[in-house]
Amino acid sequence: MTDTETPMRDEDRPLAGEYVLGVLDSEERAEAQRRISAEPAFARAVQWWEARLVPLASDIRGIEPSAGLWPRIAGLIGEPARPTLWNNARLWRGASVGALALAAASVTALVLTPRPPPVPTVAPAPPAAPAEVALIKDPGTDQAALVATLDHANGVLILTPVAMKMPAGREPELWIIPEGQKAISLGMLPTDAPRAIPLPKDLKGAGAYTALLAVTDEPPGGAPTGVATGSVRAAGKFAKA
Amino acid sequence: MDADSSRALLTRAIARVANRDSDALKYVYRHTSAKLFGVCLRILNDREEAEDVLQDVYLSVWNKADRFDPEKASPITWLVSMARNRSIDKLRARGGRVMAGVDEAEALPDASPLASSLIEADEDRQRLDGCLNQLDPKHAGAVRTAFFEGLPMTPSPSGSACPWAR
Repeated sequence: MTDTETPMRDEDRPLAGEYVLGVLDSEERAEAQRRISAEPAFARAVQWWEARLVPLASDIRGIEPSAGLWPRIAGLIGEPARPTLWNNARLWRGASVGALALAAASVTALVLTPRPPPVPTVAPAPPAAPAEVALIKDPGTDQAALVATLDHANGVLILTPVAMKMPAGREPELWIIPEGQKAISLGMLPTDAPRAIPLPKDLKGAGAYTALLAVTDEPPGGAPTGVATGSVRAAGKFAKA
Repeated sequence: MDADSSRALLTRAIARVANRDSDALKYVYRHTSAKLFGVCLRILNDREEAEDVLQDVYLSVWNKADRFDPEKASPITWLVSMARNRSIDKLRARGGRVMAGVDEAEALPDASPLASSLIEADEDRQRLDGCLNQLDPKHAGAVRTAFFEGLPMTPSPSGSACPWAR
Protein backbone atom coordinates (compact mmCIF):
# COMPACT_ATOMS: atom_id res chain seq x y z
CA MET A 1 0.00 0.00 0.00
CA THR A 2 1.11 3.47 -0.69
CA ASP A 3 0.40 5.64 2.31
CA THR A 4 2.97 8.22 1.37
CA GLU A 5 1.45 8.71 -2.06
CA THR A 6 -2.09 9.08 -0.82
CA PRO A 7 -2.23 12.14 1.36
CA MET A 8 -5.65 12.70 2.76
CA ARG A 9 -7.17 15.40 4.80
CA ASP A 10 -7.39 14.54 8.47
CA GLU A 11 -11.05 15.44 8.54
CA ASP A 12 -11.76 12.81 5.87
CA ARG A 13 -10.47 9.95 7.94
CA PRO A 14 -13.25 9.39 10.45
CA LEU A 15 -16.11 9.51 7.93
CA ALA A 16 -14.19 7.35 5.43
CA GLY A 17 -13.41 4.84 8.17
CA GLU A 18 -16.98 4.77 9.38
CA TYR A 19 -18.14 4.22 5.81
CA VAL A 20 -15.79 1.28 5.34
CA LEU A 21 -16.69 -0.19 8.72
CA GLY A 22 -20.34 0.00 7.75
CA VAL A 23 -21.65 2.02 10.68
CA LEU A 24 -23.28 4.88 8.76
CA ASP A 25 -27.00 5.12 8.20
CA SER A 26 -28.39 5.23 4.66
CA GLU A 27 -28.33 9.03 4.34
CA GLU A 28 -24.77 9.26 5.59
CA ARG A 29 -23.78 6.42 3.27
CA ALA A 30 -25.35 8.14 0.28
CA GLU A 31 -23.40 11.29 1.17
CA ALA A 32 -20.15 9.31 1.54
CA GLN A 33 -20.79 7.61 -1.83
CA ARG A 34 -21.42 10.98 -3.44
CA ARG A 35 -18.09 12.22 -2.06
CA ILE A 36 -16.26 9.10 -3.26
CA SER A 37 -17.28 9.92 -6.83
CA ALA A 38 -16.70 13.65 -6.48
CA GLU A 39 -13.60 13.98 -4.30
CA PRO A 40 -10.45 12.03 -5.13
CA ALA A 41 -8.95 12.76 -1.69
CA PHE A 42 -11.98 11.27 0.02
CA ALA A 43 -11.92 8.27 -2.34
CA ARG A 44 -8.27 7.71 -1.35
CA ALA A 45 -9.18 7.89 2.33
CA VAL A 46 -11.81 5.19 1.74
CA GLN A 47 -9.26 3.04 -0.10
CA TRP A 48 -6.81 3.51 2.76
CA TRP A 49 -9.36 2.13 5.20
CA GLU A 50 -10.41 -0.69 2.90
CA ALA A 51 -6.84 -1.90 2.62
CA ARG A 52 -6.69 -2.08 6.40
CA LEU A 53 -10.13 -3.40 7.33
CA VAL A 54 -11.13 -5.68 4.47
CA PRO A 55 -8.56 -8.34 5.46
CA LEU A 56 -10.97 -9.06 8.34
CA ALA A 57 -13.10 -10.75 5.69
CA SER A 58 -10.76 -13.72 5.69
CA ASP A 59 -12.69 -14.76 8.81
CA ILE A 60 -15.81 -15.17 6.70
CA ARG A 61 -16.24 -18.63 5.28
CA GLY A 62 -17.02 -19.02 1.62
CA ILE A 63 -20.44 -20.36 0.71
CA GLU A 64 -21.41 -21.49 -2.78
CA PRO A 65 -24.28 -19.46 -4.25
CA SER A 66 -26.93 -21.47 -6.09
CA ALA A 67 -25.99 -23.04 -9.40
CA GLY A 68 -28.45 -20.83 -11.27
CA LEU A 69 -26.69 -17.60 -10.43
CA TRP A 70 -23.92 -17.73 -12.99
CA PRO A 71 -26.32 -18.42 -15.90
CA ARG A 72 -28.38 -15.45 -14.72
CA ILE A 73 -25.32 -13.20 -14.76
CA ALA A 74 -24.13 -14.60 -18.09
CA GLY A 75 -27.58 -13.82 -19.52
CA LEU A 76 -27.39 -10.25 -18.28
CA ILE A 77 -24.00 -9.58 -19.80
CA GLY A 78 -25.28 -10.64 -23.17
CA GLU A 79 -24.63 -14.35 -23.50
CA PRO A 80 -27.52 -15.77 -25.51
CA ALA A 81 -30.49 -17.20 -23.62
CA ARG A 82 -32.71 -19.97 -24.93
CA PRO A 83 -35.94 -18.63 -26.41
CA THR A 84 -39.32 -19.80 -25.19
CA LEU A 85 -42.69 -19.21 -26.74
CA TRP A 86 -43.48 -16.49 -24.21
CA ASN A 87 -40.20 -14.83 -24.99
CA ASN A 88 -40.48 -15.10 -28.72
CA ALA A 89 -39.87 -11.60 -30.06
CA ARG A 90 -41.77 -12.41 -33.28
CA LEU A 91 -44.96 -12.97 -31.31
CA TRP A 92 -44.42 -9.75 -29.46
CA ARG A 93 -43.75 -7.87 -32.64
CA GLY A 94 -47.31 -8.74 -33.66
CA ALA A 95 -48.77 -8.16 -30.22
CA SER A 96 -47.00 -4.86 -29.89
CA VAL A 97 -49.08 -3.28 -32.63
CA GLY A 98 -51.75 -3.04 -29.96
CA ALA A 99 -49.28 -1.75 -27.42
CA LEU A 100 -48.00 0.71 -29.96
CA ALA A 101 -51.46 2.08 -30.66
CA LEU A 102 -52.13 2.31 -26.94
CA ALA A 103 -48.83 4.02 -26.33
CA ALA A 104 -49.34 6.34 -29.29
CA ALA A 105 -52.66 7.29 -27.78
CA SER A 106 -51.04 7.99 -24.44
CA VAL A 107 -48.32 10.04 -26.12
CA THR A 108 -50.99 12.07 -27.81
CA ALA A 109 -52.73 12.51 -24.48
CA LEU A 110 -49.46 13.61 -22.90
CA VAL A 111 -48.86 16.08 -25.65
CA LEU A 112 -52.36 17.41 -25.62
CA THR A 113 -53.24 17.59 -21.96
CA PRO A 114 -50.99 20.44 -20.83
CA ARG A 115 -51.56 22.39 -24.01
CA PRO A 116 -54.41 24.92 -23.87
CA PRO A 117 -57.09 24.94 -26.54
CA PRO A 118 -57.97 25.82 -29.27
CA VAL A 119 -56.55 23.39 -31.85
CA PRO A 120 -56.57 19.68 -31.02
CA THR A 121 -54.03 18.07 -33.28
CA VAL A 122 -54.56 14.81 -35.06
CA ALA A 123 -52.90 11.78 -33.52
CA PRO A 124 -49.67 10.86 -35.29
CA ALA A 125 -50.11 8.34 -38.05
CA PRO A 126 -48.85 4.85 -37.26
CA PRO A 127 -45.24 4.48 -38.34
CA ALA A 128 -44.69 2.97 -41.74
CA ALA A 129 -41.58 1.03 -40.70
CA PRO A 130 -42.19 -1.98 -38.46
CA ALA A 131 -41.43 -1.18 -34.87
CA GLU A 132 -38.56 -2.97 -33.22
CA VAL A 133 -39.28 -4.86 -30.07
CA ALA A 134 -37.08 -5.96 -27.20
CA LEU A 135 -38.10 -8.20 -24.34
CA ILE A 136 -36.78 -6.95 -21.05
CA LYS A 137 -36.71 -10.15 -19.04
CA ASP A 138 -36.63 -11.08 -15.41
CA PRO A 139 -33.19 -12.68 -15.08
CA GLY A 140 -34.49 -15.09 -12.44
CA THR A 141 -37.32 -16.59 -14.48
CA ASP A 142 -36.23 -15.55 -17.98
CA GLN A 143 -39.77 -14.29 -18.58
CA ALA A 144 -40.54 -10.92 -20.13
CA ALA A 145 -41.23 -8.29 -17.47
CA LEU A 146 -41.44 -5.44 -19.90
CA VAL A 147 -41.71 -4.97 -23.65
CA ALA A 148 -39.70 -2.13 -25.13
CA THR A 149 -40.73 -0.85 -28.53
CA LEU A 150 -38.43 1.32 -30.57
CA ASP A 151 -40.50 3.70 -32.63
CA HIS A 152 -38.10 5.59 -34.88
CA ALA A 153 -40.87 7.26 -36.85
CA ASN A 154 -42.15 9.09 -33.80
CA GLY A 155 -38.83 9.27 -31.99
CA VAL A 156 -40.05 7.48 -28.89
CA LEU A 157 -39.24 4.42 -26.83
CA ILE A 158 -42.41 2.78 -25.57
CA LEU A 159 -42.30 0.65 -22.47
CA THR A 160 -45.16 -1.70 -21.80
CA PRO A 161 -45.11 -3.62 -18.53
CA VAL A 162 -46.06 -7.27 -18.89
CA ALA A 163 -45.26 -8.78 -15.52
CA MET A 164 -43.26 -6.27 -13.58
CA LYS A 165 -42.90 -7.37 -9.99
CA MET A 166 -41.33 -5.10 -7.41
CA PRO A 167 -40.59 -5.72 -3.74
CA ALA A 168 -42.88 -3.80 -1.37
CA GLY A 169 -41.99 -0.13 -1.17
CA ARG A 170 -39.74 -0.22 -4.23
CA GLU A 171 -40.38 1.19 -7.67
CA PRO A 172 -38.98 0.31 -11.07
CA GLU A 173 -36.29 2.58 -12.51
CA LEU A 174 -35.22 2.13 -16.12
CA TRP A 175 -31.56 2.35 -17.10
CA ILE A 176 -29.72 2.25 -20.36
CA ILE A 177 -26.22 0.82 -20.40
CA PRO A 178 -24.53 1.72 -23.68
CA GLU A 179 -21.83 -0.79 -24.52
CA GLY A 180 -18.78 -0.23 -22.37
CA GLN A 181 -20.36 2.62 -20.44
CA LYS A 182 -22.03 3.27 -17.15
CA ALA A 183 -25.77 2.96 -16.63
CA ILE A 184 -27.75 6.11 -17.36
CA SER A 185 -31.15 6.52 -15.73
CA LEU A 186 -34.11 6.88 -18.06
CA GLY A 187 -36.46 7.55 -15.19
CA MET A 188 -39.08 5.71 -13.20
CA LEU A 189 -41.66 3.44 -14.82
CA PRO A 190 -45.25 2.67 -13.92
CA THR A 191 -45.87 -1.04 -13.30
CA ASP A 192 -49.34 -1.09 -14.79
CA ALA A 193 -49.42 1.27 -17.76
CA PRO A 194 -47.33 1.86 -20.85
CA ARG A 195 -45.05 4.85 -20.91
CA ALA A 196 -43.45 6.55 -23.89
CA ILE A 197 -40.23 8.46 -23.46
CA PRO A 198 -38.21 10.44 -25.98
CA LEU A 199 -35.89 8.09 -27.85
CA PRO A 200 -32.59 8.06 -25.90
CA LYS A 201 -29.64 9.04 -28.09
CA ASP A 202 -27.97 5.73 -27.25
CA LEU A 203 -30.78 3.86 -29.00
CA LYS A 204 -30.25 5.73 -32.25
CA GLY A 205 -28.14 4.10 -34.93
CA ALA A 206 -26.00 1.03 -34.31
CA GLY A 207 -26.00 1.57 -30.54
CA ALA A 208 -29.60 0.35 -30.51
CA TYR A 209 -28.38 -3.25 -30.75
CA THR A 210 -25.59 -3.10 -28.21
CA ALA A 211 -27.09 -0.99 -25.43
CA LEU A 212 -28.63 -2.93 -22.56
CA LEU A 213 -31.92 -1.80 -21.03
CA ALA A 214 -32.32 -2.76 -17.40
CA VAL A 215 -34.84 -2.19 -14.63
CA THR A 216 -33.80 -2.04 -11.00
CA ASP A 217 -35.92 -1.69 -7.89
CA GLU A 218 -35.31 1.63 -6.22
CA PRO A 219 -36.81 3.72 -3.44
CA PRO A 220 -39.80 5.85 -4.50
CA GLY A 221 -38.50 8.71 -6.61
CA GLY A 222 -35.51 6.78 -7.84
CA ALA A 223 -31.94 5.97 -6.85
CA PRO A 224 -30.87 8.89 -4.64
CA THR A 225 -27.35 9.27 -6.03
CA GLY A 226 -28.07 8.60 -9.69
CA VAL A 227 -26.42 5.21 -9.34
CA ALA A 228 -28.60 2.12 -9.11
CA THR A 229 -28.90 0.84 -5.55
CA GLY A 230 -31.42 -1.96 -6.03
CA SER A 231 -31.26 -5.29 -7.76
CA VAL A 232 -31.63 -5.83 -11.47
CA ARG A 233 -35.22 -7.00 -11.91
CA ALA A 234 -35.23 -7.13 -15.70
CA ALA A 235 -32.80 -6.64 -18.55
CA GLY A 236 -32.60 -7.06 -22.29
CA LYS A 237 -31.54 -5.50 -25.55
CA PHE A 238 -32.86 -5.02 -29.07
CA ALA A 239 -31.87 -7.70 -31.55
CA LYS A 240 -31.49 -7.04 -35.26
CA ALA A 241 -34.53 -8.56 -36.96
CA MET B 1 -1.42 -22.18 -5.75
CA ASP B 2 0.44 -19.57 -3.75
CA ALA B 3 -1.13 -16.25 -2.90
CA ASP B 4 1.06 -14.17 -5.21
CA SER B 5 0.27 -16.15 -8.33
CA SER B 6 -3.44 -16.43 -7.59
CA ARG B 7 -3.52 -12.69 -6.99
CA ALA B 8 -1.70 -12.12 -10.29
CA LEU B 9 -4.10 -14.43 -12.14
CA LEU B 10 -7.10 -12.67 -10.70
CA THR B 11 -5.64 -9.26 -11.55
CA ARG B 12 -5.06 -10.41 -15.12
CA ALA B 13 -8.56 -11.82 -15.38
CA ILE B 14 -10.04 -8.49 -14.24
CA ALA B 15 -7.98 -6.70 -16.90
CA ARG B 16 -9.47 -9.07 -19.49
CA VAL B 17 -12.97 -8.39 -18.14
CA ALA B 18 -12.33 -4.71 -18.88
CA ASN B 19 -11.99 -5.81 -22.53
CA ARG B 20 -15.45 -7.42 -22.34
CA ASP B 21 -14.15 -10.98 -22.14
CA SER B 22 -16.99 -12.99 -20.61
CA ASP B 23 -14.75 -16.04 -20.05
CA ALA B 24 -12.57 -13.85 -17.86
CA LEU B 25 -15.62 -12.82 -15.84
CA LYS B 26 -16.47 -16.48 -15.47
CA TYR B 27 -12.96 -17.09 -14.12
CA VAL B 28 -13.35 -14.27 -11.60
CA TYR B 29 -16.77 -15.64 -10.64
CA ARG B 30 -15.54 -19.20 -10.23
CA HIS B 31 -12.70 -18.17 -7.96
CA THR B 32 -14.38 -15.53 -5.86
CA SER B 33 -18.15 -16.08 -5.81
CA ALA B 34 -18.15 -18.36 -2.76
CA LYS B 35 -16.10 -15.89 -0.75
CA LEU B 36 -18.19 -12.91 -1.83
CA PHE B 37 -21.43 -14.82 -1.25
CA GLY B 38 -20.21 -15.59 2.27
CA VAL B 39 -19.65 -11.87 2.80
CA CYS B 40 -23.09 -10.89 1.43
CA LEU B 41 -24.87 -13.62 3.37
CA ARG B 42 -23.12 -12.69 6.58
CA ILE B 43 -24.44 -9.14 6.31
CA LEU B 44 -27.87 -9.84 4.84
CA ASN B 45 -28.66 -13.20 6.39
CA ASP B 46 -31.01 -13.96 3.51
CA ARG B 47 -29.95 -16.15 0.59
CA GLU B 48 -32.20 -14.58 -2.01
CA GLU B 49 -31.16 -11.03 -1.19
CA ALA B 50 -27.53 -12.06 -0.96
CA GLU B 51 -27.73 -13.61 -4.43
CA ASP B 52 -29.37 -10.49 -5.83
CA VAL B 53 -26.52 -8.44 -4.41
CA LEU B 54 -23.93 -10.88 -5.68
CA GLN B 55 -25.41 -10.67 -9.15
CA ASP B 56 -25.11 -6.88 -9.03
CA VAL B 57 -21.53 -7.15 -7.83
CA TYR B 58 -20.48 -9.23 -10.84
CA LEU B 59 -22.42 -6.96 -13.19
CA SER B 60 -20.46 -4.07 -11.67
CA VAL B 61 -17.24 -5.99 -12.19
CA TRP B 62 -18.30 -6.44 -15.80
CA ASN B 63 -19.02 -2.73 -16.21
CA LYS B 64 -16.32 -1.23 -14.03
CA ALA B 65 -13.36 -3.57 -14.38
CA ASP B 66 -11.44 -0.76 -16.07
CA ARG B 67 -11.55 1.20 -12.83
CA PHE B 68 -9.67 -1.45 -10.90
CA ASP B 69 -6.12 -0.30 -10.26
CA PRO B 70 -3.85 -3.16 -9.13
CA GLU B 71 -1.35 -0.57 -7.88
CA LYS B 72 -3.85 0.74 -5.37
CA ALA B 73 -5.69 -2.32 -4.13
CA SER B 74 -5.54 -6.09 -4.23
CA PRO B 75 -8.20 -7.64 -6.45
CA ILE B 76 -9.85 -9.46 -3.57
CA THR B 77 -9.99 -6.29 -1.46
CA TRP B 78 -11.65 -4.51 -4.36
CA LEU B 79 -14.19 -7.32 -4.80
CA VAL B 80 -14.92 -7.83 -1.12
CA SER B 81 -15.34 -4.06 -0.64
CA MET B 82 -17.85 -3.97 -3.44
CA ALA B 83 -19.77 -6.95 -2.03
CA ARG B 84 -19.82 -5.42 1.46
CA ASN B 85 -20.90 -1.98 0.27
CA ARG B 86 -23.75 -3.34 -1.86
CA SER B 87 -24.86 -5.60 0.99
CA ILE B 88 -24.82 -2.77 3.52
CA ASP B 89 -26.75 -0.52 1.12
CA LYS B 90 -29.31 -3.30 0.77
CA LEU B 91 -29.44 -3.77 4.54
CA ARG B 92 -30.07 -0.04 5.01
CA ALA B 93 -32.74 -0.05 2.29
CA ARG B 94 -34.48 -2.85 4.16
CA GLY B 95 -34.95 -0.54 7.13
CA GLY B 96 -35.93 -2.06 10.43
CA ARG B 97 -36.98 -5.40 8.98
CA VAL B 98 -35.17 -8.25 10.66
CA MET B 99 -34.62 -11.46 8.77
CA ALA B 100 -35.02 -14.90 10.26
CA GLY B 101 -31.67 -16.36 11.23
CA VAL B 102 -29.65 -18.30 8.70
CA ASP B 103 -26.51 -19.47 10.35
CA GLU B 104 -25.01 -20.90 7.20
CA ALA B 105 -22.29 -18.28 7.32
CA GLU B 106 -20.96 -19.93 10.43
CA ALA B 107 -21.69 -23.52 9.60
CA LEU B 108 -20.36 -24.21 6.13
CA PRO B 109 -16.77 -24.85 5.15
CA ASP B 110 -14.73 -22.35 3.22
CA ALA B 111 -15.18 -23.32 -0.41
CA SER B 112 -12.98 -20.66 -1.97
CA PRO B 113 -9.36 -21.53 -1.35
CA LEU B 114 -8.12 -18.98 -3.86
CA ALA B 115 -9.82 -16.06 -2.21
CA SER B 116 -8.83 -17.05 1.29
CA SER B 117 -5.23 -17.75 0.38
CA LEU B 118 -5.21 -14.31 -1.16
CA ILE B 119 -6.43 -12.72 2.00
CA GLU B 120 -4.74 -14.82 4.62
CA ALA B 121 -1.31 -14.52 3.08
CA ASP B 122 -1.71 -10.81 3.27
CA GLU B 123 0.44 -9.39 6.00
CA ASP B 124 -2.11 -6.63 6.45
CA ARG B 125 -4.23 -9.26 8.05
CA GLN B 126 -1.66 -10.03 10.71
CA ARG B 127 -1.12 -6.35 11.32
CA LEU B 128 -4.82 -5.86 11.79
CA ASP B 129 -5.08 -8.75 14.20
CA GLY B 130 -2.29 -7.15 16.20
CA CYS B 131 -4.25 -3.94 16.28
CA LEU B 132 -7.48 -5.62 17.29
CA ASN B 133 -5.65 -7.43 20.07
CA GLN B 134 -4.56 -4.11 21.53
CA LEU B 135 -8.13 -3.01 21.93
CA ASP B 136 -10.39 -3.61 24.86
CA PRO B 137 -12.13 -6.88 23.89
CA LYS B 138 -15.46 -5.07 23.89
CA HIS B 139 -14.18 -2.55 21.36
CA ALA B 140 -12.51 -5.18 19.22
CA GLY B 141 -15.80 -7.04 19.24
CA ALA B 142 -17.61 -3.87 18.18
CA VAL B 143 -15.23 -3.39 15.25
CA ARG B 144 -15.80 -6.97 14.15
CA THR B 145 -19.56 -6.74 14.58
CA ALA B 146 -19.72 -3.52 12.61
CA PHE B 147 -17.51 -4.94 9.92
CA PHE B 148 -19.18 -8.29 9.51
CA GLU B 149 -22.76 -7.34 10.03
CA GLY B 150 -22.83 -3.72 8.91
CA LEU B 151 -24.32 -2.70 12.25
CA PRO B 152 -23.69 0.54 14.10
CA MET B 153 -21.08 0.48 16.86
CA THR B 154 -20.37 2.47 19.99
CA PRO B 155 -17.82 5.32 19.89
CA SER B 156 -14.33 4.34 18.88
CA PRO B 157 -11.45 3.79 21.30
CA SER B 158 -8.03 5.38 21.10
CA GLY B 159 -4.88 3.37 20.66
CA SER B 160 -1.62 3.37 18.73
CA ALA B 161 -0.60 3.04 15.10
CA CYS B 162 -3.79 1.18 14.35
CA PRO B 163 -6.28 2.68 11.89
CA TRP B 164 -8.67 4.01 14.52
CA ALA B 165 -5.88 5.94 16.26
CA ARG B 166 -4.66 7.83 13.22
